[in-house]
Parts: sequence; C-alpha cells; structure tokens
Amino acid sequence: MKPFEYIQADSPNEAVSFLNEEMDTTKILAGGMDLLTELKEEIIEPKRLVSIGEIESLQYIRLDNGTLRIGAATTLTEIANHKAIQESFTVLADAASVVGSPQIRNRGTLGGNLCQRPRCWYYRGEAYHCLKKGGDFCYAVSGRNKYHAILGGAPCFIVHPSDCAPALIALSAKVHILGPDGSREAPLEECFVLPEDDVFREIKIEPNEIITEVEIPPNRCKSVYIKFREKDDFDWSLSSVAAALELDGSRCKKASLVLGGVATIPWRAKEAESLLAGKTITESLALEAGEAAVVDAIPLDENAYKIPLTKALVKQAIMNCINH
Amino acid sequence: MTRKVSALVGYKQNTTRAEYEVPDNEPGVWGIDRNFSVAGTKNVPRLDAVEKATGKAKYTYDIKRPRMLHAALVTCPYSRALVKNVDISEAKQAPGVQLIELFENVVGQEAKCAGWKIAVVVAETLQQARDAAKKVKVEYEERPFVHDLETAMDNDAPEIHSGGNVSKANIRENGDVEKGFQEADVIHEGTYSTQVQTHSCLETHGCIAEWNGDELTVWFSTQAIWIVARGLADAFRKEGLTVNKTRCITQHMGGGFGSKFGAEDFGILCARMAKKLGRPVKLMMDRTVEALMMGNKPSAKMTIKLGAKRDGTLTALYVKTYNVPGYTGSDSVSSPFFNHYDCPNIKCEERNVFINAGASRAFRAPGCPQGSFGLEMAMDELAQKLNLHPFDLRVKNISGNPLKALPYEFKLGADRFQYKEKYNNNASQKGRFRRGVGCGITHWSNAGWPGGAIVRCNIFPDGSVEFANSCQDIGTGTRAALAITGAEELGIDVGFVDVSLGDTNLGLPGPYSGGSSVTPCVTPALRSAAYKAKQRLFKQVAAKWNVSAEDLDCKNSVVFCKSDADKKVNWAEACAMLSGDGVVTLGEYVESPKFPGSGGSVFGAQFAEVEVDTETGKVKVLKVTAVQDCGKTIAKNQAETQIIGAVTQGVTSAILETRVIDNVTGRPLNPNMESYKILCGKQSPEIEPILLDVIDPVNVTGAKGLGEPPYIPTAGAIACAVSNALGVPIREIPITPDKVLTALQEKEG
Repeated sequence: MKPFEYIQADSPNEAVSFLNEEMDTTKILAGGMDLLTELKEEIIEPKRLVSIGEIESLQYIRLDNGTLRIGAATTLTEIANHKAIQESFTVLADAASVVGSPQIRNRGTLGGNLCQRPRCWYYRGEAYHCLKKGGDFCYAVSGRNKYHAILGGAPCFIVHPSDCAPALIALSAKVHILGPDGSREAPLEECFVLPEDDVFREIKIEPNEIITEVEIPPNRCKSVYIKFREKDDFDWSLSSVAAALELDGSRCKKASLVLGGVATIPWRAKEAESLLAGKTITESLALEAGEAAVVDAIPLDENAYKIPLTKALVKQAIMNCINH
Repeated sequence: MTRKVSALVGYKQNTTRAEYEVPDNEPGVWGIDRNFSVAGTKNVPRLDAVEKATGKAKYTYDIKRPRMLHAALVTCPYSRALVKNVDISEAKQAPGVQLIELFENVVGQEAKCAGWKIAVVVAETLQQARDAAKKVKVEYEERPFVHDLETAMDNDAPEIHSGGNVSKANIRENGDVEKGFQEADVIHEGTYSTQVQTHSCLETHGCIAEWNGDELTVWFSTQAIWIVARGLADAFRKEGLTVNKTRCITQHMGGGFGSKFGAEDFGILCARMAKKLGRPVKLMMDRTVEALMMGNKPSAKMTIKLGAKRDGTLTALYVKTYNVPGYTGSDSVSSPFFNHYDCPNIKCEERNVFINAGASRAFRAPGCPQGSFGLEMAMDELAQKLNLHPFDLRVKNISGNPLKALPYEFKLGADRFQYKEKYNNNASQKGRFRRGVGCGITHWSNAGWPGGAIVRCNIFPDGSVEFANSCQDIGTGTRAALAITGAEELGIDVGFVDVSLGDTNLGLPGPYSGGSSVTPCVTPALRSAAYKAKQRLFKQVAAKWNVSAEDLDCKNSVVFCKSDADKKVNWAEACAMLSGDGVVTLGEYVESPKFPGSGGSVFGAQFAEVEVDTETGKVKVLKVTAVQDCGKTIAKNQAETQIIGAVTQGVTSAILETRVIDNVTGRPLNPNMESYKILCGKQSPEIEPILLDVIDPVNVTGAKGLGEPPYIPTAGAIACAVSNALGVPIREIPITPDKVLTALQEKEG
C-alpha cells in the first residue's frame, strides 16, 4: 500500500475544497467498506483521502411533508431499522437490510453504497489488467462469467453491485450533489453510466463532488426488494428486483421495476413496467412482466440461468406488492 | 504377569462377553454395562472455553515476541512460468527491510502454478515486508498451461510433467467384475463429478521462529508438532540442531482439516532467516497464498457402473475415475466402494490428472466424500431402475462387519428420520417448493496404535491432577476429552483435572491430528496412566487404614473402603495422605489382544432433507440426521459438535464451495472469502447428531476416531435428496442455482 495523506473534513464544503485541490489523486472516504478493499488490493493508489464519515450534517433521516431526505453519510443499519422507511419506503429498508453483513451495514453509508465499484473478479484481481483498469479487453467475455451481466453489457460486463440504487430508482429518488460551484440535483436514475459510454466509472459524480443527500418524493406505492444470492448472508446478488407499484385495489396505476445484479447499471425494466400500467395484476400478468424484463438479455457462456431466475424474481416482487 | 478381565462389549442391542488377559498393572476395556460417571454421559465444556470466548487463548497468529520481525512472501502471478531471474536490489533498499531470501532452487526452475513461492522478505513491520515484496523483480517466461481436466487430457495439451498430464492407472480389485456384470439382471451407469474444495482454515498456515543460542523454538499452526520439530531438526542438522533442542508449541489451532502437517519449506526458511538475523521472525500466509498453495481436496469425475440381481443383490461394482489434485498430488476415492456395501466383484480404476494449480493435500477423510457422493447417487438411480425403494436396496447390501453395527445404525437413523415414508411422499411433486430426502453411510477406521501416545499423570497432595501429552488440539476440544477420561478412571470430578498439551517440551510422544487419531491414541494411554496413579494412591491410603489396596475405590470424588463403610474421605483428603510431591505415572497405549469381531472401524448413516425452490434453483438443506459411533464416546458435547461441524462442512461442499479457475489465464479467480463461498450460519440446517456406543476391546477406553467419518456421507445424502425432490438426478456438486435451473429447463422444457 502506498502512503497517503488523510484529512478529516469538518463540513461538506470543506470536503469539496480538499477534493478540488488534487482531484485526480484524491478519494473520498465515508464508511470505507468499498474504498479500503480497493486500497488493500492496490486497485487504487490515492495520494490523499478525505474523510466525510464524521460530518454530522451528512447523517440524518428526515421526513418533510412525506418527502424522505437521507444524509449521504447515514449508515445502512440506520436506514434498515428506520420505522417510517420500513412502512412507507419498504423497498429501501429491504435493500439496506440485505447489504453485506451486519458489520458492513453498521459502517457502510448510503452514499458509499451508490458510489461503490464493481465486484467483478477480474476487476478486483490484482493480476488482471482489464478494460476497466485501462487494459485492452474484458476477461469476462471469454472467461468465467457466471456472475456477470446479461443486460447493458459490452464492452465490459460487470454487474452493478448496489442494492440501494435499484430501490431508490424505483422510488424516483433524486441525489443532491455538492461541487466547487455549489450544489446540483439529479434524478438518481440518470446518474449511472453504461460501459459503452464510459468504461472507467459507473456513476456520474465528478472527482471533486460529493453526494450530500438522497431525496425521495412522497410515496404512495407498495414496494419490495428481493435479493437473490447463493449465500444467505454476506453475498452479492445474482439477481435482484426492486418493485414499486401504485395500486388501486389489485389494479396497477403505475409500476417501477428496477433490476440489480444482472446489468452494468441498475436496470430499469421499462417494457415490463408499461405492461403492468393500468392493468389488474394477476400471476400470469406478473409472469409476462418477468418475461418482458429480460427480453433484451444476452447471456454469456455461464450466466444464462440469470434469465429464468430474473423472470421469477420479477414475478415474485410484483405478487409480493399485491399480497402485502 | 497378567490377569483375566471380562467385559460386555458390542452395543446395547447386540452384546457379547469378551474375556481376555491384560498385564497386571493395566486396566481392561470399559464394558457397555458400566455405569459411566462422565465419559459419554455428561456435557463438559471445553477446558479452554472461556479463554477462547474472551480472546485470551493465543493462536499462532496472536503470538508476539520481543524484537519480532515480520515476513511476507513473493509469489508467482502466472499459472505456469519459467523463473529466469530474481532481482532483489531495489527491495533491499525499501524501508524496514532486514533480509530477503529466495526459496531453494527457484531460479531456472518452472513455477508450476499461480502462488508459487519465490522469496521471503523480512522487515520491521508486516506492511513494510509486503510493500518491499512488491519491489522484488522476478523475470518470468510464461509457458502454456492446462487449467482443468478437459484441457489437461486433450491430445495436444501442453505437458506439465515429462511423464504427461495423466498418471498411470491405480487399480484396486476384488473378485471378477466382468463375471459380476454378466450375472446382473439390471445395470446402471452414470458419471458423477465433484469440485475442488480448498481447506480455507480460519487461521492460515504460518509460524514464528526464535533462536536462543543453538536452540530453536517455533510457534506453528500445525496438526503435528512432533513432525514439525523433527523436520526442523533435520533441516538444521549441519548447524548442530537436534530434536531435543527444537521446541514446537501449538496451544490453539485455527483449523487444519488435513492441510497442516510438516515444517514445510516456508517454516524452514523462516527459521533460517531468524537465525541469520538473531531475531524472532513471524511468517503467516496471506489469504490468497493460503487458497492458492496450501492444499485442496481434488475434484473427481467418476464413471460408476453397478450391476444387481432383480432382488437388488449387488453383483458388480466398477468405477473409473479421474482425480485432479493440481500440479502434483494424488487421491483415491475407492474406500466407500469397498467398505460401504457388500459386493463380491469390485474394480476401481483411478488416474490422477495434473493441472497448473496448487498441489492437493489431505482433506478430511481423503477421497471418501467424493466416492460416497458418486456411490449413493448411483445406488438411488439403480433402485429406480430396479423399481425398489432405495432404503430396501441399501438394507439388502449394507456391509455387516464386524458387529453388524452399520445395518443397525442405518435402520435406526432411517426410522428416526422417517426416511422411507418421506422418500415415497416426494414422488411427482408439483409447485414451486419441492422437498426431497436422501441418505448415505459412512465407515472409518482408527482405534489408535501401540506407541501412539505416552501420557503422564500427576496426582498432587492438594488433590489436583494433571495429565500431559505433547500432542496438539486441532480445535476439537481434546483437553476436555482427556480430562473426562482421567476423571472417569479416577472417579473424580472433572474440576480436579487439568491438561497440558501442544508443546514438544513436555517430552511425551503423541499423535498428529490426522486420520482421526488423537482421541483413540491418547485416551487409552491416559487411562493407563490414571489407573496406575490410582493404584499408587490407594496403596498409600490403604496402608494408613490398614486395609488392602484392592479394597479401595473412588466414586463421586470420595475414596472409600468397599468392605468398611466408615472408612471414606473425600478426594483431596485422600491425596493429602500422599508422601512427598504426590504420585507421577506414565501410561502407554497397550495393544489389546485380538478379539473375534474386533476391529478399528466406526460406522454411521446420515439422512438429509432439502427443499428446492424451482423458481430460483436454490437448495435449502432443512435437516440432517447423523447416526454415528466412535467406539466409546468420551466427550459427549465435543463429539456432538464434531459431528455438527463435519455435517456443516458436508453441506457447504454439497451446495456452495468450489474453486473457480480462469480459463483465460489459468489462475484461480476466487482465492478469497468473498467469492469462494462457504456456508454461513443463517444457512446451516438443523443437525441432529445421534451417538451410539459400540464397544470393542481394541484399546482400553474403546475410543475410536470421529473427526472424519461424519463428513463422508453428507454431500451424497444431500445430492440424493435434491434428485428426489426434482425427479431428475443432479450428478455434480456443488448443486448451485444455475445447475438446478438448467436441469429443470432440460426436464420440463
């Protein structure tokens, strides 16, 4: 590990100004759950770490007239255990509660969960100079790709690792971003980057910016998050579904379906959503939506199983919304 | 001089009287009808339970010595490469670096796999050692590799050894299989595959070496402290080191599973560098090297052919297998085929296939879980072809020797688990969640051996008792088993007893923790020592009471005269009558006379129930019932947890663990605890251990090895259960969701 300078910022603005000084060689440290692994594996070698994890003004959960505001440095445990989130923004509480392990959720923050880097074993392996690290090709294409993307792939086939991102997108969340020129807002959905657009990053946050808040509009939807993993704890999703349905009895007025673990970004299943809109939900309709969600999937050699798996999870998520 | 002893042996439902002679100062075996005060009857916590729970127990990893230096390895990143040159000039200048040494014969040789050990860097801190290790410049010439069974067996595959990638066949044979298949009415043939599992010990391999003058002390994470001490003395013989000047200490172990025998090249180099530097050096493997180089359980691809008469009687059993141990090593899956079911004609033809990956090491019951998985799956499929219940097919053929304990245990477990009924109910299930049951049987053989251990017993005048043997506790709770044996023999509370082990300076030969030998080797020697010490105590007390020593006994920590109820004192008072510093005796493992029906074997049967989610392909193991004997159970609590641990390791091999090798680079992709997936607590099934005492006068406690046998049948039982649930056999473990979904798509379209 290369020596680095460590700075503890006292305020978001101070953090941004530290970042701005040497933005190409500076990294943000919040919970450290992802960053420390990248440091230890020497995937990144920053000269400076700016810690924002101690900034109290980034740690809050507030409800303003139904709008949910969460400070970016709020831990996943706090989100998972929050009564109002469990009741009215269930998909988010569900997602936060299945990230990593209890220790990781106690340290890991919401902002960090959105900004984390992929878990692809080629990307994480020191010995692989893959596309994402400036190499010439994606090893997963002809290599071992059981855990890789079936949607949004090429030229790189990582899966986006976040559990909270699909949940927040299903709830139409916005992020507040602070940079040297002040703050801006963006729908979270628009923040993620396909590898064909930029293979070196997954989220459009500039190196001199930090997420300060996640804002979720008042929610009238029934919502759930289903994460499927091989290990029941401390494992990444092979496929996951965030569903938020605005219901009138069993009729669906509007649906949001976002997939995790199967695509290079949190993947909005738009065809499946429009299939549900205005219709009475039945098991067969839910299954049709499952089919529609993966209609564009292109499997690699070892991950075709993700297609039937995701179909089933979409159906289950929709039916769970109805039955809850 | 000898005397006659008589004991009721066997198990409760099938006993027989053994009468034989033992030396005068040795006990006879404990009979099945003995009223045991603690052995196998009472739960006694591990003697080190509090230390372990509070973190006070020091594992090798925790040892810190004054002025200690830290070491890190330089390893090869390629799956196969010629090491042309190693340049340490820059690394030598790095902060904190004290010494850099190459492993023997590295330059000019081929690194056969990723993780190949090149050099050791010693520095003031571990971080400095690791940073400097990155600065060692190794010049490699990459060579073509083979990474799996198929590529290794290709006609134009690069040869990784001059003899080729496939070893000569190892053939083991009974009877005439061709004749056996001719006699068969029905034949089943199928190919069954198992994965490579790495040992993944929580504590990685490693040691601390410290010289004091010409004496060497090592703290070593090892299953065999005597082998380590002898290995180091051997390595430094030219420098004048001998075994009596070599001390190996292993007080607590973070797992071994067969991977931690011997001083190893890294241990010898660590000691050499400590000697040169005149300071203690600590070298622990990091998780990556641990996974790459410190052993694995070879995969097996077994083609199994079974022949049977209409009534289910087996006539022939043939297995042809390719085991993949890495760049070197070997394995044999044959034992279950010869020991689990009676069949007059058996042939097992095995080959090892070498690939560019770390060498295999012994892994809990080497070869047996693989063989058992293939055999039990094939038995279930044969039963279907015969239109027989798999229970009936097994009962028809199950091996009866030596005390017919196995058929009894199988039926007992099946009954308790309701295997027969559940199996039938599962036919033609529909719906998302489908349940299935499966079973498997197990056999192992270790009852200790003469010379296996010498135990010292001290009875002190304050009533405290100490037993000592040099052997290590691999983590199973050996201290408790030894204290219980001593308390049982002396007739006292376990609280009087302390146990010393894990240190060659105790000077008492003891077994390695391998082959399930510690309890069967050490407890008989310990009982012999306790028996002799008790005789001496009784002699001194009897002299004071003017009675004969034979008239004394001790129960519930009270020493009393059998013929005079007034003469009794509590244990501590009796010990206070001892002269001087008390009594010290040595006990050895004494070979018992051959007794008809006696043998070293233990048996067991396991039954598993699973629920398969047909939408996601996930297998949930609901319950495993494990009937097991270990001869005489000594430490009930620890024996049960041993079974639970073994079954858990079987479950994880059945549904999760697998080493993944990259076909592009030939390197393992998951040498870590993140993507090498091991069962977590949440996913562990209910495990019901059922221990049965099967007494056999093979040694004086009747104890036999337990560590390995309960691991053998679990994966097979679970695979059979999944097949029962789905109505389609899944012939490859681990049974992960992708395999289930693929199988279901093939079956249901």
